[in-house]
Amino acid sequence: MAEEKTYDIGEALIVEGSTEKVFYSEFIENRALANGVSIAKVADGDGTNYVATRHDGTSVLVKLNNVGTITQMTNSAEWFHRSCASRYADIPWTVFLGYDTDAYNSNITKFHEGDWARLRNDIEPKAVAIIDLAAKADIEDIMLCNYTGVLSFLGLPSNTEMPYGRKGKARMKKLHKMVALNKPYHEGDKARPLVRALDMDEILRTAPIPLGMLEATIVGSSENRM
Amino acid sequence: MKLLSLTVGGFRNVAETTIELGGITAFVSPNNYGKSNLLKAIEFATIFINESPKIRSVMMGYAGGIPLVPELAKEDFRFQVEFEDPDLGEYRFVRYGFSFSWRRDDGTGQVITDETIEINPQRGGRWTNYLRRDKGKYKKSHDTRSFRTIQLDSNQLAIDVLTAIEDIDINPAIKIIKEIGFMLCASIDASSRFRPTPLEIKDDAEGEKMVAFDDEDLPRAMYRLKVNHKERYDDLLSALFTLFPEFEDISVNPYELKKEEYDVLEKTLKTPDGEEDVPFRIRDELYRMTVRSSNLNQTVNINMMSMGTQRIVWLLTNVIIAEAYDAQCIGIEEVETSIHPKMLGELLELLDENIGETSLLITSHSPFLIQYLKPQQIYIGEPSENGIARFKRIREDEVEKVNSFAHDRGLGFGEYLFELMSSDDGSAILASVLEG
Repeated sequence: MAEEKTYDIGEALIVEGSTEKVFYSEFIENRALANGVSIAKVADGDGTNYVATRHDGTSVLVKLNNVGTITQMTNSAEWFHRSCASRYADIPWTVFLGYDTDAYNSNITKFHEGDWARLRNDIEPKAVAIIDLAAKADIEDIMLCNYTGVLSFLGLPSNTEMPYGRKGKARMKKLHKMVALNKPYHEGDKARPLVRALDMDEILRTAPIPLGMLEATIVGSSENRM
Repeated sequence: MKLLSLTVGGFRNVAETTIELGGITAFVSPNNYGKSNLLKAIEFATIFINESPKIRSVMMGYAGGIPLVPELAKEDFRFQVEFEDPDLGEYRFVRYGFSFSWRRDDGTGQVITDETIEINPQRGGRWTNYLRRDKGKYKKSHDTRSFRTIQLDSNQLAIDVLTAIEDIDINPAIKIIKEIGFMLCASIDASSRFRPTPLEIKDDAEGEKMVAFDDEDLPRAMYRLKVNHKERYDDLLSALFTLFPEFEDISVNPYELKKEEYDVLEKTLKTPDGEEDVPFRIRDELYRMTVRSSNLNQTVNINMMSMGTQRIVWLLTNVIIAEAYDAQCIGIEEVETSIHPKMLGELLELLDENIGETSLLITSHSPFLIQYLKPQQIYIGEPSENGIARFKRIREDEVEKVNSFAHDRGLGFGEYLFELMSSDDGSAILASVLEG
């Protein structure tokens, strides 16, 4: 049953995994803060949600979901339809899809070629716009766009050469291993301290994905920013 | 050296099955279909290659391998391996195979019926045959067209004999064939590996220093890995710290029995006259693995941890040992046993990172595990009414269709595969999309 409209705009982020969810939640909070937009977590029991209030008073409901360990891609479409589009039927929904376009080429991955295209088809009828936050890069590649920040967090010398790895995750693991064997890189919520330490301005500028579009939906157009 | 494919058949209920290798390969089917038989068939074949002719004769009468399924009753045991080794130069790609007839009730059989050695400078294309076993002939190199004579007993393989002949150019390839090994971890309960006995067989001098695969004493294997392959040991620790973030420290060290325990044990090994009457002795050193966890107020022995934790330690240790010793192929049954689905993806990633060139064959009953593999890595038991086990992959041109079917039902690929295996309708769909 549709709830009473209490927001002006809905933004749904569907991302690959738990680390992505942590990154994007921190990014959203960081960009809101950087632009003087008020943002608060909404505890409605179904995951990570925020309400951002832009300078012009527009309220933006932001809901994040990741394709988890047990859930599959089709669950993400169901989540959008039930938890976003149906529950808040009176507000327009923009969906951001956060994924590595190359993920299905990894040796071990729960994603198959065509998964994200199928998801897009599933949610298109109820979304005003669907934007890919996608590149041939995993979320660790995005985090490594602020390489000096990662080194600083780990306490490694600033002239540490980027280790070799097919993807950012492999490089991130090697960097952590340089520090101590018993402090490996962990995904998900355990990556939050690292993510919080990153320079999101630099990542915004240099990442190969359109993070500026995500920022714009949170903080509004440039005329409305601080 | 890298294995490219294995073919095996005519063992228990396993009909000829070819497996393309590379990284992790999974076998899925309902219970009692023949997954374990397939792995045991491969193990049997690699043992056969390396055994003496006398033992091979015994093996050809091994009741535990003779096909009992009527349709396979007259089938020979067949095995073929294809591998690549760049160091072999123009003999780079090798395909070796043999077959034998099982002992029959009428006393016939128990003979090697065929053997092939084929070599190619590149993958694909025409193979050059270097052995005509039926004619007692072999070719020494690609430079010559002529075949020489070779005499082989019915329980002798040509590769036993050819390596003794000096001027054969293909001998380096043959030596590699004889080194092919398959290590099978079939134990579902790994906890016994962390509770070794303090006794060992006397004069087991060779066992003293080697790192053994699937060692009955896992802490000992870990310690020897630490001493002999420190880098790989560090890889093992790194993997364990990744999987268990609450672990702060892991130690593997030798220790000695307490004197009172030693004295009691020593007494039991002697006769009333004080003579040592048994072929066992008390080990000089025992080994223990201890863990300091942020959740516990003291360091504990790993054997106090859960079965699942012990199994993960056992799995990773054996995979890393296998890779450290250039084992070409290892098999693990039911990888997911005692392991929470949450951990499966990360465990598979770590196994994949640490197997190097080794091929890992796994059996599984978990759709969550299978979801992490690509369709070309998954061999499915072909639906069968007559008890024959034959494993095939989904045809490449059908993968997208199967993915779409899964999506239409709101299922992941792995879930859908298991759904298909669980019903008659599903079996029919499965049969229609499998290779062959």
